Amino acid sequence: MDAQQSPLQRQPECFSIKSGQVPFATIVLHRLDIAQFQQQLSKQVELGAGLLVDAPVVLDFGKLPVGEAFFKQVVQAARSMGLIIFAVRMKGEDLNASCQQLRVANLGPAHVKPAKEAPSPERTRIVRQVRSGQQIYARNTSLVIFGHVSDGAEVIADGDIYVHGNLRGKAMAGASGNTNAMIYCDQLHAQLVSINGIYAVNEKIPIDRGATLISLSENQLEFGDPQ
Amino acid sequence: MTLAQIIVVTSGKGGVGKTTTSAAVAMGLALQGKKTAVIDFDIGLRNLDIIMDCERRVVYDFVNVIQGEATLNQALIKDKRCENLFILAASQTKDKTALTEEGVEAVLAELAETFDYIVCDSPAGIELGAHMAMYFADIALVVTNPEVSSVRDSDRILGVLQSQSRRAKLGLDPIKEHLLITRYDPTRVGKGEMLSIEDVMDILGIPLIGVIPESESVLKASNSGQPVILDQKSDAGQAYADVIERFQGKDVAMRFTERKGFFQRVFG
Repeated sequence: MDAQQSPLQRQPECFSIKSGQVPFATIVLHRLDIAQFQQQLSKQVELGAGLLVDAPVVLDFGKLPVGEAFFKQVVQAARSMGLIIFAVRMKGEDLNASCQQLRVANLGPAHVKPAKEAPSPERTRIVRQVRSGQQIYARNTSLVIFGHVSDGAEVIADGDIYVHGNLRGKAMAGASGNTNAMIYCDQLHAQLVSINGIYAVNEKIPIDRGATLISLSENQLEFGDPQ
Repeated sequence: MTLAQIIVVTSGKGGVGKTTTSAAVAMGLALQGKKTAVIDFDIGLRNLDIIMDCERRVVYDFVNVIQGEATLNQALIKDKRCENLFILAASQTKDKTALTEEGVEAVLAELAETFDYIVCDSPAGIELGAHMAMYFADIALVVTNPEVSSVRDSDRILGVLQSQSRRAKLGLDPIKEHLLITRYDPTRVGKGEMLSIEDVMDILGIPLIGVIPESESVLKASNSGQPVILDQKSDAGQAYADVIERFQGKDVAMRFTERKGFFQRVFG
């Protein structure tokens, strides 16, 4: 049989490579103390049984001036308690040989993001009518308003916006990027509504429909009934 | 010693009837035996003295008192019709930057010692003059015409009262707000040319203290220097009298809010 196959008849591939994100825990070290590390880790393993054991874990040394001996001790201590240490984060490449020896990847230092905090579950609560010319911004939270939002008023939140009243002004939810944000109001007569920057102005907004839940679906605003 | 209640008459928009209302309310309270001072905060565009018919008796004004050029007693003009009523006129020559927070506070504090009510007639807008008029208030009369732009401006003013007044800044009880709808014409409301009382109340969400009908008597009163409340034959005068009653806690039904019937139009 001809060893060469035509490209068209090539067998299906055995595997494909996907890049993806797998959730894993990161242990961030704050100090170079192996005894304390072992002590704290064994307590942690006991407390959160199953959370760390047999789970992929990254050790983050941050900017600590970590030496070879300490490095090996920490990785081995963690492994001996059942953690699957598959990668480390550290400054510089001095310990790359040790990394290879211990079969861990060096991911380099963690990116110091100007941490955009995840929207916290807390809510900003306003118990009054928001009037023309007033602007309320709920940074990193949802916004709950017990009262009307007047024409000419603006209510903005990084999370959801709930208006227990008539929404006549402007409402912008998911203001710093959040496609899952929603806007709820008892009555909808808004000048503008926006979620994650996708907006609709007055003439595109269905009015007189009573309680409305506005969400984003495939980059389109959806005006639905609350479930 | 009494400690006066400070009432601001405000609206945001111009021409809705603030000065007419200030004159009527101040006169109404004074006629009820309350010692009342009414202050014109519209520096540079004074009108109150004309409506109160004391234009020619103004020697010293509000700004003179603030700047220490006259005492309060020299500047207060006693009304000729009612001994409980005093007028503090605005300056026609200065501009409103003459109003300072300390100066206004000092004048109000001195008045508060001997008066029952101080009525502050606010200029239109939300600039310094309006800010000074409302800053020290205990009570706000928000004057609104039944049309969209006036209602919007009143909403704006309510927001300012709730966030920038002295009471708001010190975290005291909020200013007591009353809605006064003026120039109301039930016939035009019926035709859909004007917002109804319900529409206005729904948007502003504060309690209604009165509805003053659109009336020729208001212009007549202004031109003749008679606060319209003195004209008890007129519908507007009676409506203002009702406002004074309600202001003092009496339960008085709203009048002049329905379309006139045929007989009323002919004989009324």
